Amino acid sequence: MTKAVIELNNIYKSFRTDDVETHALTDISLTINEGEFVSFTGPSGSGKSTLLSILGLLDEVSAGTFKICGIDVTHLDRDQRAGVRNQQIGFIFQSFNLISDLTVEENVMLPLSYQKDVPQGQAKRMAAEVLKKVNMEHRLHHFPSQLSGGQQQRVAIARALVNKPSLILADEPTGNLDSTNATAVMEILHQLHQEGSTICMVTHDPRSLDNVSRNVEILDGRIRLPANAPNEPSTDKKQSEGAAVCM
Amino acid sequence: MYVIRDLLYALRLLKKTPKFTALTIIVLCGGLAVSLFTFAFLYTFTSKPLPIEDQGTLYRASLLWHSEKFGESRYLEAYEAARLREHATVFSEHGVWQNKTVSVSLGNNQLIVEAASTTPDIFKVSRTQPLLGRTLEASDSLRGSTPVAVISYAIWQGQFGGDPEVIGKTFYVSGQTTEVVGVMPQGYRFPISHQLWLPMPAQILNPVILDREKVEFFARLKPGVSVEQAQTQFFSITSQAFNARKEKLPKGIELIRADMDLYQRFDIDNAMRLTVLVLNVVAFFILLLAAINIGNLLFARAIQRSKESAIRTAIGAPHWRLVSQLMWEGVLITLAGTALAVVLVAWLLNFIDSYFHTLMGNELPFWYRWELDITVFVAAVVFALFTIFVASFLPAYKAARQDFNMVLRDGTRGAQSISIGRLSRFLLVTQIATITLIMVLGTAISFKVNKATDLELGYDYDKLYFAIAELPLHNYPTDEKRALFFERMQRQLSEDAAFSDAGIRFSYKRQPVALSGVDYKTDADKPKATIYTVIGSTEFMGPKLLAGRRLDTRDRKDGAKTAMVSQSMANRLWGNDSPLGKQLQVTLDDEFATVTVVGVVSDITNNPLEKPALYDELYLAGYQFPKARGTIFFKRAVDAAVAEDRFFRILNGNDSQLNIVAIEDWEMETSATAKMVATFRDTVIMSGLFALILAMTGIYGLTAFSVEKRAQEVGVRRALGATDKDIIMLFIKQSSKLLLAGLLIGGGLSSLMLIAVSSVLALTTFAYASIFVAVLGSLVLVVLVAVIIPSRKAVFMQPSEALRCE
Repeated sequence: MTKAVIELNNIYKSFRTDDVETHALTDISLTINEGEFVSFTGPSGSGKSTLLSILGLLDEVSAGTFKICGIDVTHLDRDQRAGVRNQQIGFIFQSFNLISDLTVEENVMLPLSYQKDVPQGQAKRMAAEVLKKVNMEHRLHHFPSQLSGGQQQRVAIARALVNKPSLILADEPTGNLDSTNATAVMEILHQLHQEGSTICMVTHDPRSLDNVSRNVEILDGRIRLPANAPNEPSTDKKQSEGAAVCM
Repeated sequence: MYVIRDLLYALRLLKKTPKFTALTIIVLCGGLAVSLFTFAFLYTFTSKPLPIEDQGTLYRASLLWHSEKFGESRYLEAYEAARLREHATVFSEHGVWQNKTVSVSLGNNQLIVEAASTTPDIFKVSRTQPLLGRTLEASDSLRGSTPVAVISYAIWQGQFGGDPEVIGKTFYVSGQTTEVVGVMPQGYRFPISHQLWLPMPAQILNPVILDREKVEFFARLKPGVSVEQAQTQFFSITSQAFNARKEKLPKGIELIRADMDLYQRFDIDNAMRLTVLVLNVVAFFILLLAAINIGNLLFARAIQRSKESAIRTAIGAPHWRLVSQLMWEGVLITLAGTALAVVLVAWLLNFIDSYFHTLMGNELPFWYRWELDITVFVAAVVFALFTIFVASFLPAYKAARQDFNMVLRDGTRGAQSISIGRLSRFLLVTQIATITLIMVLGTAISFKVNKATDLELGYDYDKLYFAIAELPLHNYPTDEKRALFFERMQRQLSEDAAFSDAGIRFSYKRQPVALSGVDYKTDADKPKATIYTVIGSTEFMGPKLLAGRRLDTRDRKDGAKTAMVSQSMANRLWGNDSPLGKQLQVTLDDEFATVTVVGVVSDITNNPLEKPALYDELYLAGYQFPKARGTIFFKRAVDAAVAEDRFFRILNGNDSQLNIVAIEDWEMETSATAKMVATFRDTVIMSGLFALILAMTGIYGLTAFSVEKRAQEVGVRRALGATDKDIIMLFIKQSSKLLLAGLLIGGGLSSLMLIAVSSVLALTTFAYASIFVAVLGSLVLVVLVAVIIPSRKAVFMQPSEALRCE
């Protein structure tokens, strides 16, 4: 049976600056199943990144309910949310967001360092494993500033994978890359999808939409449904041994 | 033109952030004021130029002696001075003077003043003409000439009511009718703080070989003569004179060297110079702390404007233009801070000047004028330039050296943040090291000075006076004559209704004493005690009888030699045994004696920085061991002026020619000293607290800046699952390394400086350890608070918001 990784029900998100209230998201309901590769598109300011922040528990909803792997995460406290982020979610950012003072290996080991039960040796082995997967094993001891943009993004992908997350969230992962590197990054993401990972990706790049399971278009904070197309999860489910599942 | 444009732009930016502008100006004003005030205060104390013509060529000189009994001491005797005046060729002008405390009276109007018994040269050397009449002449010193005096403006106004016909009028100087021959201008108090000038007696100007009168020597160097040359000739002439009479003087005295220094610096010893240096270093570090804080704030502002600078660079602004533009804010803040600091310091100096002059009366040297003079103003300019360099130029230079190409490109902050991070870490370590140094030295100095305010001397100095009398050898050649004089003085003072008690004390330095029957290999093995010989009761002078009996008229020259010991000495030498009847062996002025302990008295000290029980005292009978120089103690029972008048009448009745070196109201003296010391202590504590606040805000500023720069990293870490505790611990862990580095550097430097001034501070190991523990502990606390507050602020930001931070 297909398992829902994400369940959003009537989500609202608004910001208040002085006396002005901005509605970033309005009545979003969305389900994403295990193994899906969902892209979010829409013009700038439409609310894609806000939605991704909500999905990644980086921001709180103003109203509605939100479940990850069947667990209601809407009202978790700060530390519980941190725990979910650490164990269930992997992030890939447009600007890579590697920590400049840490080496490639240390950057990748970072999510494991927030888990008490992962010994240093095991963390190193796991980091080496994922770095090999993205062909960056030869740059273990380099600092981010010594890498090209494409290489930095591959390290960022390795960092997102090291915890074997249930969900990978990618915010315009090719936005800062040239076409060659962008293609290479997308290939990695597709490979992960093939291996069973659930991926949500915000993108502006139409080329990135090839081979995604489903595209969700956001406009003015709402999901824009194509004519006669219900917002339903795709049945495209891939699962392999290497991919994480909801626990 | 661009300078004006940049200046106006900087003004606009400062106007936009009035709180920031006010805060930085206040902080800088505080730092500059502390440094400038400390400099001005100490500079006046140690090296302020004399307010007389050609002051740079005026020197004082003396001889350093070593005596087997008393160690090193510096003085010049009239005999050597007379040979100098005859043979010296390196001086264009020179003279000698002796300090004399005298009573001046006219009718019922009586005053005790410091007089200089001097050669006539004093007025010429000080380049000052009398306001009325004439100065002293050589003929005034001749035997049989009419006693004359030159009076100060203050005496002229106070005693003679400013009478324009004062010349030729007579008044009493220590009971002797004296004619006024001149009045000096207002403010003239050369050579130190004198108000009356008397001709030096012929027997001191032309002493015989056995005379041991001490005098002070001053001179101007001839053009082209160096201090070293003058010193060499000074030593050569005086050592020849000394060698010629050495055999006839008491044994064990050796001439070591001649000391010569600029007039105003002559009495400042090495320990004092070192202390002044340390205090100036501490004050400079407070300025450095303030400058680093402001520099850091301005650097943060420059970094916030790095996009603007990048755009300016992109459209062709040269590097120096960027530096200049970024500097102006700091320059304006520094100029405003300096202007305020100068006004504040001028007010403080004025306050301190009137406070000290009120407190110390006319005892302060005449050149001690705390004011905003040209030197202090130049120092303010130098401090301001230094501040501009640290707080404006360095941050602007660093900010303008960023890779603006990287700044313009989005999301590539790596190398930039590494460089800024390095600078932040360096500044944080510098701040911690600096405040450690300031706090350790400041606490040690305050600790030491605070002890001096206790004035726990073992004395009840209420209404207590002392006068130091020096009996001339030609009039008092034998011990019997000396003892007779002092005994008579003691008896007459004790019997007079103006005094409740009186006593005489002769002081010897700390020296070895031996327990009878104990075999000591060297003098170093013997216990040491400060030896006093006394005539009359010791009770009112401090030492109270605790056991046995007092020394009294039973202890005559031909009787058995007796002694009283202090309680600390009794405890140290005999423990639980009674010291009464025990015997000690002492050697005073080559006279060996075995004395029997007949009494035990309480502990005293003459040093307010030492506890009374720290050293031991041994009291012998003054009849058995009198000296030429004795201290007459008396406790007044009547009004101060009446008591002083009675004292001089009794003194003059016994010997009208006697030189009283000093007469002091101990109560007034100790209270004035305590107030001065307390003012100094409070100034150090206030400066230390200011420095601590500066450091706290500085460390907070640096940490906050560092945390703010890493807001995005915090966002990333939280996105990856870090909890609030993880983030706060991360910052604490990282700051701990810097804290440790700063504490080690600061602690090491302050240890070195404490070692350098250990002879002045003389604190116990426990005191030093306590200071280090207290300072380091409080700094750890301060740094932790300064790290935790901005870290907590950072973790409360939503991760999504933190990730968007640039």
